[in-house]
Amino acid sequence: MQRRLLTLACLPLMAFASAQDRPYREGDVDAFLAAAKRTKRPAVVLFNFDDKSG
Amino acid sequence: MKDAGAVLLPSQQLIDLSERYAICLSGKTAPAGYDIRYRQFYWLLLFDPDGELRHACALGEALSAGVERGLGVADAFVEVVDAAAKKPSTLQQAQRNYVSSAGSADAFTALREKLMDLQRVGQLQTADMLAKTAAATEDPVRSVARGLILEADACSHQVIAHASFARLRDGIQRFLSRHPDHDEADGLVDLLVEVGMKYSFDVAGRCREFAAPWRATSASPAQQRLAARLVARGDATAAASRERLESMKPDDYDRLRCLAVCGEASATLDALAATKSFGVFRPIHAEWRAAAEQRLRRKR
Repeated sequence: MQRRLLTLACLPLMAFASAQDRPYREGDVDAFLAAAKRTKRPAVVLFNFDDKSG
Repeated sequence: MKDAGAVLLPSQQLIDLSERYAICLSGKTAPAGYDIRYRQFYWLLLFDPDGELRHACALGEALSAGVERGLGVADAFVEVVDAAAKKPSTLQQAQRNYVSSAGSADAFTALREKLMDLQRVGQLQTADMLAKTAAATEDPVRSVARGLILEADACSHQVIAHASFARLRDGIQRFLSRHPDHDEADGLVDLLVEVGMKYSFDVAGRCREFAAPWRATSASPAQQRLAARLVARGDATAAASRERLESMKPDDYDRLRCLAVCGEASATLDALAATKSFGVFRPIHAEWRAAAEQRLRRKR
């Protein structure tokens, strides 16, 4: 029971870690481009791609 | 291409590429100012470190070229990105060159070539730029005309938006009222009908409404000539749609638009009742419905 609860508690963290590990961002493309410009990074935008289609 | 994409996202190549580029899957939202035609799939846009657009392309076609040469999808993608990064200029550089050359013909040609290389992405914001910077050029009126020509091209190839067509019609009408004898005037009359009124109800009638002030006895000869051209274009467009309708079946693509263009009120309402309106067509269909209902009310 305790182990199950611990797993449930960790799920959001696991999801967060997984999102952090992805080599890309998803959504809010204008905020993404503003951040890339601020940090002087060249940026690639893939339009009509999301986690499912990609 | 959908399957090809599925190969792309978990790939090591994409992970390696993310060391060199920030990558965003933008879903169905294109970056502000960079219109991509409704229902077009899978585009790549590459921005330089200053946030300027260096390249844009339909990714499916670009990847297919690599795959046909024997590359895997992920390697072909990296190749597309690297080739995009080598493009010699950004859209914004071409725009700045236009202004710094005071709107020279050569700079405008270069700007259009850049837009063609971008497959027209960014055309509407460039049209805005031409209008806003017109005063800084040697021939401001020509710059405004060039902006309208680009705006019409964007409406014709990329932006199916009720508001964009209305804005284009207003812009061309304003220009022609002020500069009826400009050497771009005839071409703009054609664009007003072919593009600005492509989704208008009763195009022949709309042309007569637009032409009415120019047909007045007090109008200049240039305005009267434009009025005659506009009415003739409207009549020809309606006649062409009527001819197409004769060979169309009830559920043929574009039949509803042809009915609306001809101003066939009852038939347009019947066809609308049998059609599901979606996305960008909702406001266009709403306008057709309102115009058709108004016409029938007047007849009663």
